[in-house]
Amino acid sequence: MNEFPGIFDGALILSAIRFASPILLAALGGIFTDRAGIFNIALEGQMLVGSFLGVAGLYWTGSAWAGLAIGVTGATVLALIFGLWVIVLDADAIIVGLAVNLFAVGLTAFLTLPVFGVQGSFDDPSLVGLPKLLGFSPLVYLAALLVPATWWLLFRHPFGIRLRAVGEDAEAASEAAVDPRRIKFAACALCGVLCGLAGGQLALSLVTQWVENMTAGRGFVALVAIMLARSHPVYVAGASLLFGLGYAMTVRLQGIGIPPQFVSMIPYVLTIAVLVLLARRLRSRPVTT
Amino acid sequence: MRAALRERGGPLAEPLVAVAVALGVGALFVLLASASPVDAYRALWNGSVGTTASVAQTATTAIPIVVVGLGMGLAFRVGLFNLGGEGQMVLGALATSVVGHALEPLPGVIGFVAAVVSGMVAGALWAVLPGWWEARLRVPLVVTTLLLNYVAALFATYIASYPLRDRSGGSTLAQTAELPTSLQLPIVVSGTPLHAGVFAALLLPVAVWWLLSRTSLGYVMRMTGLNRDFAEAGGVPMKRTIVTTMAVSGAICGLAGTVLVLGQTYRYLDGSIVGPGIAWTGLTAGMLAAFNPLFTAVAAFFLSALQVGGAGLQLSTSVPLQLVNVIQAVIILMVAIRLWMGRVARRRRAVA
Repeated sequence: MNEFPGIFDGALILSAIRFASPILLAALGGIFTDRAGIFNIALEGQMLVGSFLGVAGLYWTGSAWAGLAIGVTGATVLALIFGLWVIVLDADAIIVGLAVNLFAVGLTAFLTLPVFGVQGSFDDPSLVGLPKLLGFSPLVYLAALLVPATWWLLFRHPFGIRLRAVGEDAEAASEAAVDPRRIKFAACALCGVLCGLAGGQLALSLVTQWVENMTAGRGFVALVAIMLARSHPVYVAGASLLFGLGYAMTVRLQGIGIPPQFVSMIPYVLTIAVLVLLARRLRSRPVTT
Repeated sequence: MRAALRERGGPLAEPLVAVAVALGVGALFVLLASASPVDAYRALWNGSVGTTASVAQTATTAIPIVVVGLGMGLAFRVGLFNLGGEGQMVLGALATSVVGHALEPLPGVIGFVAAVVSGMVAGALWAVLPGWWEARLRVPLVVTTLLLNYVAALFATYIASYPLRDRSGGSTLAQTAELPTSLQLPIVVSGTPLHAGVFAALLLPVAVWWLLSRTSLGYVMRMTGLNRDFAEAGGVPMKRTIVTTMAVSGAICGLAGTVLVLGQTYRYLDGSIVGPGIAWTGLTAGMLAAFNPLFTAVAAFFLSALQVGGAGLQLSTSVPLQLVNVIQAVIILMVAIRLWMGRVARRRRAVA
């Protein structure tokens, strides 16, 4: 425990902001589906596809921005498939989310060999990730700007008012001449775009490489951030920063004698602990259904 | 249209359509890897059920898939989305390996029983925790069970890498020491890996079926799965039912890890559960069978054939093994439509 005073410093905070950014981007996306009344566990799979296609696009074109665009497109397509199943075919969102996640893991692992010519992970010194502005990727600033933008869209813009109406009572909303399906599809698409950006930030900036299943539960951490924040963008930013700090600790605590597996556990244990300790903050809605 | 399809085809039509669509999508992915779908599926068939040896391999691989599929499926049947089968299985395998090895001096029967019980208890404890959080605090267990998978896998990797690492054979793999032969399940068909755990895979579906359809606990479980609020209004103690269901579900998932260790790996071998995604294949089998315990075993054998055939596929063609994971995910997507129809029918009945 003696190390702790020396462990919290400015560099750790900067690192926490970097690690928080993919969580925040995915969580902001998840706010839209959550507010539309969809329990969306597919954030994880959409992020993973964003990461994979991001690196693949960079590998194909040589441009990280082109890679990001390809990753965002792929994640959005996956989000629209999720939407098609949940909104049009009326399938259970948790089952479909599970299928989307397993599909993303299988698809990306399958394509790793044909795309990169190797299995498991791909890393090449010629890959240049997103540029840095004052130490941060532009996506970090974008994520920060998207917090007030999401707030405005949700609470001040007609789209957000319709979205929340659909999420709270789809029948009443449709009587008020709002088409719930169109609103829900728009929410899924926005979520896909933001998860694609989250995956890009993870694989094109935090690291510049592809590793199978590299999101490793970050989509679920983002989901917990949404639940704790009750889908409010400002609180989501706070929760994401807290979880970003957990990830930053995993880097900081390496090589000081703690077994690496326990260090790697920190983000998961932190997320579960916060969820259980702050359980009373969760709204009393039907939980697993 | 869907209702018409349902009425015409009977209960087997829907899973068969799901599998057919999934294999069709799989063929597209084979083309994407610039190989011939016909060749790929022929290799898949030959590698999984083409010879006696491959059938035995498929049956052996199916054993833990059946068991973990029954465990996760039981919770899903009750409306509890236990995504933690993987972690529960990992801890079951770890506990069996550690306890079995520690009790080596004792007579074989005591060691065997202790190894099996410890695996089930480990899995049950890891499942009761999120079940209790859901029941007491309404923390959705779909999230906590999934996150706990990572914690369990990292913990088991630590145990197998440092304190209890087997350094005897100069192995570079993280693994615990080999169990005494008295604990290893005997081979049933000589010359193949098929071990006595196959009886667990054959008897357990009947046991789960009996639990669900012939006991009062099973009745409460099924009522809870049909409509939780209705069951609670009818006097079902919901908190206790959730925790009990998770305990049974986790114990069965832990047993899947136990069977894997006692019959195949004879030790905790890091990555032997997470790597091939045994738990997720089991869950897919459960879904394909609409969580019917007896059909789960059949579906698990089919998915096991895909897994075993996929390994052969990778050797004989340029198609990566992960093709079978894509096929499995499409199966779940197809089945998701069907599962929902059952739910809606039930909800309508509950309202009426």
